[in-house]
Amino acid sequence: MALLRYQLACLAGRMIYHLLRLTGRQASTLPGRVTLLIDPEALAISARGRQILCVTGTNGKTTSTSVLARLLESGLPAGSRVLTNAFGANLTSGMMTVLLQSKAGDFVVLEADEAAFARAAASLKPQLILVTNIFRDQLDRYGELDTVYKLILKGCLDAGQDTCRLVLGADDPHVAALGSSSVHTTYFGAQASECAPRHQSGNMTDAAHCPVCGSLLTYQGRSISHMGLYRCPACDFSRPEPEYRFRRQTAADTSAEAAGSLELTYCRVAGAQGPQPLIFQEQLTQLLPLRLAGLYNAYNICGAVAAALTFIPQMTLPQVRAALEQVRPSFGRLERISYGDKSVCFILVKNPTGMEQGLRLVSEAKDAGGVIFFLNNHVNDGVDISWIWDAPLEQVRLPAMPVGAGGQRRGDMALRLHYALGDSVTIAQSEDKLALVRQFLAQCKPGQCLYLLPNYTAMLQLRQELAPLLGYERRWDPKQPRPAAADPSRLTTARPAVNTHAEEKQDGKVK
Amino acid sequence: MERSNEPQGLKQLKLCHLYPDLLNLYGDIGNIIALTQRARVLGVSLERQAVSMGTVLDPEAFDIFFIGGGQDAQQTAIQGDLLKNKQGLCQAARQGKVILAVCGGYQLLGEKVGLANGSQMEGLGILDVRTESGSGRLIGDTVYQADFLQPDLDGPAVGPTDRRLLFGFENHGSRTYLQGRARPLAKVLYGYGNNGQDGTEGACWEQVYGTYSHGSFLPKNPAMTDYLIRQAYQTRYGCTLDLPAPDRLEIQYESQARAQAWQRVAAQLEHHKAGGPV
Repeated sequence: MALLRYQLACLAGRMIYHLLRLTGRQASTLPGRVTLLIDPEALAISARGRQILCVTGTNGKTTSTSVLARLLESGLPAGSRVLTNAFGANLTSGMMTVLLQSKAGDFVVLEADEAAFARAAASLKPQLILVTNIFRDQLDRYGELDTVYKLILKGCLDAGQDTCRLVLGADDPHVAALGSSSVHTTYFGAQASECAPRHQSGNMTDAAHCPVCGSLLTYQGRSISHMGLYRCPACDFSRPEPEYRFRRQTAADTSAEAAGSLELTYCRVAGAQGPQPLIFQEQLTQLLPLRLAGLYNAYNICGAVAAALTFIPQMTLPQVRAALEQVRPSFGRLERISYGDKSVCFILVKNPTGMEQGLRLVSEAKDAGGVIFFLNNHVNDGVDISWIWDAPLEQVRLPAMPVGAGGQRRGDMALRLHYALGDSVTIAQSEDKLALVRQFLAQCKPGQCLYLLPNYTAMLQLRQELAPLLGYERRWDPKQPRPAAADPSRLTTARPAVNTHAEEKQDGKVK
Repeated sequence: MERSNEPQGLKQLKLCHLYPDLLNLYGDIGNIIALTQRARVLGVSLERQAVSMGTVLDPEAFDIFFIGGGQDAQQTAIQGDLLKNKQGLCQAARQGKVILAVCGGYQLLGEKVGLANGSQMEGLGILDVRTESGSGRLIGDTVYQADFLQPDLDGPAVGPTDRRLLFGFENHGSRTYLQGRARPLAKVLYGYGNNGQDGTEGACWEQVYGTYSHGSFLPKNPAMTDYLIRQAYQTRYGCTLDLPAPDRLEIQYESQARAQAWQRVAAQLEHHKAGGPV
């Protein structure tokens, strides 16, 4: 009976999947949602016989997931299938949708929302968990910051301490503290040179407290926000020495596309498969291709490499290189689309650190011809947008360029930007995203790039609304090559009817 | 946040930001940013000092005190330290200095704070309020009416340009009840307020203000921000702060954000505008 129910549930899910695909939809969550509605046990049953790797944390999940999937494709024996949930569909419904397409023996890399991870880990029994970082993110969904830590800790414990390997960001105190829950822990982190002895930022809101005893941590250097070389003055908690350490070697051209290379130092270890103490064999330092700009992406790539080499210890350097050569921006993360002799670049920003890092990237890009923030407060974004005040935008020196605000909460965004950038900068506002982008593109000089910084649902809407202008497929396919250059003559075409409810909103991440 | 190109001879006010490393939930820093920016517009230089654990406050040194919100764990962590400054803060309150506290900080200004785990914590007792833990969080957009911001007006506010309207966002599990000498900061037009029952939001006494509104509270309410700065100025210098010419009081971006906030809840406020009961 139970089996019949499961088969029925999967059948229904698959039918919906194919129907949605036929009608040109992304079908990234609805099939799984229906399957789980019919059989709540379907996640656990369908995970059996698959090799599951979970990626969770607050920032960098999507990029880390996609890089890890590429690394596995490259490092696993020929004929292995690697599946993953693209489009950021990272709730149980999205994970179920991927599992529907899997068969026994497949490798499944699942991006998991923190709360969904806590619920699903016991069912999924992953072989490996990669935790990126724990930033303040969508707090009205999770209530409190410590809650996120406890959610992830619960998931790690549920996954099974004997079999599951943890790959953890050493530079984030809360993530590092998860390591005590497993004997199979691998750490990755930045070299000291990436952690500038940044003065304690004036507002102290990125201060971090010891996850063990609650004292204020002291820092030898910080990389991003509360991440860096920390130590607790009161107890013996400190940043663990990472097995995988990186530093960036930046290319001369600092535009977002050419990112230079990643110098990775790591130790090949013996005995990595069992609980016995690790024995370091040799220390290697390698230069790896870095196709994504920004320090946070260097973290993401380092984490993915650490996870891949932990999972496949025999993976060779050429295999790693080949995979990293192919890394492309994930859905809306530094995605660049050319538009005649100009271009636009999407950077998803959905929390204070992401927003500050996004603006910093624009301020450093030599080709920046303008920047527009798009802020929505749909339930999928978190209805509370107060986090924009926590983004230390005051610390970024933005060169003179047009600045704009769009989206449902453009008024709040414009006010935030006004306070951060001062009276001399006018913030253009419009309800009409397409018109705003057109206006800003017209102000860009040839060779310049217009940077668009939306949050989650704003990104989905923006992609839909800009599709006719920029000439890409509305349905985004990570396997497809980059969109062809758009024809600027489209600038003058009439605005087509736009579906303001992007698909993800209909069958999206609603809990 | 501070501007370097300030003209000479600016009147100075000093802001004490209490426990910014521990009480900083939901964009509370936005209130500090707004105070600093509006002070500059009003021709006042606001100097901010962060004060955290282990410091004995000199209440004389400051004109405005700000305490943000925090989780139960952080509230518990600072409670003992805060009580050491009880005398100083009470003295500041009696002298008419401005104290603004949001959410967790507001609760700690009260007599007693009940925690989710059933225990009870002693507060500063500056505001005559008590807080109990409740089931279910009160989360969402808020619109309040604070009549002291424009005492010459009567009746319900009819639009976002009305300075009495306060826009915010609330997210709290506890319920706060007013008693004795505490007066509500505002009445609730939209949202839950102190407890979701009595239609009150926040509390005030002398120049001490507590509110559940963050998101952040002050940026979208420049009338409230200006009011606090002028009160602090009055207490420090014993005279009214002369306002710059109206055209220099620019609140274009604030007004746009307020107009959009109003629009989001306008439908639910229709019957209020018609003068019906709220």
